[in-house]
Amino acid sequence: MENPKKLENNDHVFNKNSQGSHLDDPEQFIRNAFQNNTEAGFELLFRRYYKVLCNHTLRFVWSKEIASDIVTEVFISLWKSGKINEIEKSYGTYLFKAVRNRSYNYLNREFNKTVPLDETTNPSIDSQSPEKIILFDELQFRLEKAIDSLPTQCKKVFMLNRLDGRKNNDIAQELNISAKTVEMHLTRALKHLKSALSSYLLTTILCCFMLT
Amino acid sequence: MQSHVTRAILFDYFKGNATVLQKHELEAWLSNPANQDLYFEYWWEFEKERMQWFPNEQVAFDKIKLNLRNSDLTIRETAAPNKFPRRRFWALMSSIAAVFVLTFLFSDLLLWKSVETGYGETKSLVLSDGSLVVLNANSVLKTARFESNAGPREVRLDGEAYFTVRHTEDDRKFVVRTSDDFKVEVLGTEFSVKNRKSGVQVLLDKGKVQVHYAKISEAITMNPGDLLTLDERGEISKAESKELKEFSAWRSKKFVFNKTSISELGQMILDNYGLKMVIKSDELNERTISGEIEAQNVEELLSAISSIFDLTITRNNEIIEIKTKHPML
Repeated sequence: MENPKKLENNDHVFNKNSQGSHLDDPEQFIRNAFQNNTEAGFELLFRRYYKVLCNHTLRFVWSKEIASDIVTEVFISLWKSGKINEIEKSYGTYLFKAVRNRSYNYLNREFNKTVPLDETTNPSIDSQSPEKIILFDELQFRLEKAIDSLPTQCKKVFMLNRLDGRKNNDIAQELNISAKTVEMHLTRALKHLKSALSSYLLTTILCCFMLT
Repeated sequence: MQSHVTRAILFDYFKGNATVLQKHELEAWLSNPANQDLYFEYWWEFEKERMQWFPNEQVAFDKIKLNLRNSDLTIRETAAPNKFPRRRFWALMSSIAAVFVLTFLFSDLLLWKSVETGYGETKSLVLSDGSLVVLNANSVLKTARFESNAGPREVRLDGEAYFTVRHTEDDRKFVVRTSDDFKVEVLGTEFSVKNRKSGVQVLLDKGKVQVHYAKISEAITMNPGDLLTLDERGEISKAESKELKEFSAWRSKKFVFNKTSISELGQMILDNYGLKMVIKSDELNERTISGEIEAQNVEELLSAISSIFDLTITRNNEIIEIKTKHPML
């Protein structure tokens, strides 16, 4: 639908769909907003990144509740620590790294008994090593493969429970199986993931420790 | 060595389909920090194109705001025990007398603490009892400065707000006053109050409230979904409103219109943004609009309305002109 803009030219006017911005450099726009009003800048940053980061984090933690918690914590910590004023270049880079770090720590706690050597959740402002970035990507691919390789019913139960946060009784009803079977599937799924990941996570820790 | 990392290759990689060689090149490419920024920009685009999950952004943002803002209204004023030397006693007495006089004159200022919002602004605040208030644009909420722990919790509202009231253990009532004549009393529940020039409206989401109106001897009980209106003439009426969405949609920066007339739209914009709307085409007086629009500010809203409903909207400082599109254009 053609719509010649009749409004006065105003830098802050987006198109009618507030989801996407047609500005050339959204990061710069956010940065400018920050100069004038830190709260407005923060809100713009949040609205640009929240949903996207949630989806990204989901690839690591496979739980909607945990994913949104992690992303929310990142924003809160970003503001409270004052780090937001120190970011000179890309907010996106910082935010993606922050959620990845936290996701990684979460996975370690869930699947690994050993205490990770690198507990930092807030990435340094300077760039991290390329190897670390690639390792995180690999982690996410592995998770996807491991979950995909679960037997059908087991996979279904796992997704309903972890991803959607459904209660075992609900799942049992929906799939027409007993609650005990649901539990069994979950135990099996977690065991499978644990073994697929634990050696990988251990290797990653050592790499991260040496490379950061 | 020139690197050939393109968007297409990166997207393949994000899907898990990159070759070993490509991964190797990628690693080398990432050693440049500028490329790392670009890399994550592409991740942003990739995720955005394939979003499977649409979490509730507003709920999360409200949570963050709550966490970051201190409770504006926890005031613990304790009198410090002071010993005044005798000499100063009379001077002190006279100054206290002056304070009392002033207090009487400015009692409103001293007894109440206000929170205000400007045009186009909304604020969330937590009251000292743990209740949550989301204040819409151009509104003032007043709370008592010295809160006792017994007796009803009282606030005064000029404008529009959404209340989530915490139920206290000792069943303390929570009272929202819009004037000396009108108040809404609850124990613990969720509801909206709108007190504008055109009258007062109360919409109940959850729980039960009692409305006290001086002209009516009995209290009026509201149930969830009820919409109570007190118009300019002082007439009170209750309706069952199935469209809860419309009323509180402003909290999620969403505008919901249900056969809303253009003049009602103008009133809403005047109330919330302080801009006056002038209707330039006669036929618009009969026109209504229906639909949901998500907009972060008034410019976005007007832009959306003009394109969706085929209208020409121009803004000149505080005045907005609205008319139908000229058929010749």
